[in-house]
Amino acid sequence: MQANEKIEKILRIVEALRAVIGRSSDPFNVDVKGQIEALKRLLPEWETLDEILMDVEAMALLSKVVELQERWVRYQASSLYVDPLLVELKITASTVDRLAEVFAGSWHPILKVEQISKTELMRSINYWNGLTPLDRRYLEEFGQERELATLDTRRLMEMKILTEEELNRRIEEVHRQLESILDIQGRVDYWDFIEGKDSNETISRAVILSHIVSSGLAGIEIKPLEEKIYIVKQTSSREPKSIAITVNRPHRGETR
Amino acid sequence: MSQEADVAIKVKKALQLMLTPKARAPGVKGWELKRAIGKDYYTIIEALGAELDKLGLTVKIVGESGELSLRAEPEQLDDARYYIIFKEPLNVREASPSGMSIDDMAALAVTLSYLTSKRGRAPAKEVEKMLREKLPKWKVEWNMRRFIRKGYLLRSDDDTLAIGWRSLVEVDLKSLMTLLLATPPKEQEP
Repeated sequence: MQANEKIEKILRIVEALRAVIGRSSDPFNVDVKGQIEALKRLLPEWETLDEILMDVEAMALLSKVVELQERWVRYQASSLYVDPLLVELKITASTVDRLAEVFAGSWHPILKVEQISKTELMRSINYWNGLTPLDRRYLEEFGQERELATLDTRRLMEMKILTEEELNRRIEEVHRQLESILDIQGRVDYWDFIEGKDSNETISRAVILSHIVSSGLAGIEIKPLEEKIYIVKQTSSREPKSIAITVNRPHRGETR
Repeated sequence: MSQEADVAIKVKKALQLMLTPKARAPGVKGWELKRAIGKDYYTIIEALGAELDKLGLTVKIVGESGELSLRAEPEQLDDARYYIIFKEPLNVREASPSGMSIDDMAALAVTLSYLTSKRGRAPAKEVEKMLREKLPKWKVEWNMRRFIRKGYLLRSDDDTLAIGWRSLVEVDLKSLMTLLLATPPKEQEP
């Protein structure tokens, strides 16, 4: 057998095994015995270290497949096993209300207290007292003072980062999303709404939302005791005021 | 100090630890309880469980292999995480003020039941396709991001979705599947 042919053969085995493991498809689709016999036939022909390492990798993947087969059998024997097709059928045939009932009927929420403790408060005060002022930190880090600058829409358009059509399209898209949520729920958590798939999208959504709110198409409601900020439908009776919300985390996690 | 008074103090301490907000996830690790209230923390958790039971709450212990009882191996209990949860599930009306709309709850029910039927993991595209049959695309993406951030789902680098830590704690997957399969035909859409 040609060297290339041998390597291609083992590469095909490795790729096939990786695909089964990665896609979590049925591990019984792999003929473990047949693959081991194929590897056994190839074994005497390996000469270089790379070839032997590939053989080792194939064996390791095969053992992983055997482990998955064991788990699969255990799972099918467990009370949680239901035919996926039956589940799909039930999901397709159920109303949204019924599906919500199904979730609520099996949901046991976790309890937690969301309140700052005396210890946390003392720790925060100590941290604040020891924190170097921002301008001094900039000086230490960059060696010169940085001045604040404004990057408005006009400037972004001049810099060819944004076009007017693109901006309008994005504002309309975010506004449409917001309207749909507010029509159903009446209000929505600010941080939930602005969160995008990455930090750029989050900041972009926050900026667009501020434009929507400034235009009077929605309002902001702050609940200081709950430490919550909600986006609500705009009411004409409210007095206009300026609110600053700092989006200082690139991508929000559990805490802010 | 009497033994009863000592237990009462430790029960309060355990309750505080379990309810205090943490940076990443709620609950507390077994070894943290051991460090704070001593080696006999299993008996304290048992006593706390009895008190919580009167209020319709319960302690849930989740280890790497899933839910554990207080009779599990000490090493497993030390590594497990302890949570206080509602003993009985809510109904839709009671659950709504939690910030989940009916659409959100339905989307989570669909996702979790689908993942459960697929042994806990499936390509994100498959799940999103299924959700898009009943929800607009943006709402599906928004819900996905939210469920992942809250820990209900876990997205891997290979773009597969798995059941997240919060679902393992909060959702009784067996009940979820039973309720879904028990949906009477008259409640189903034609």
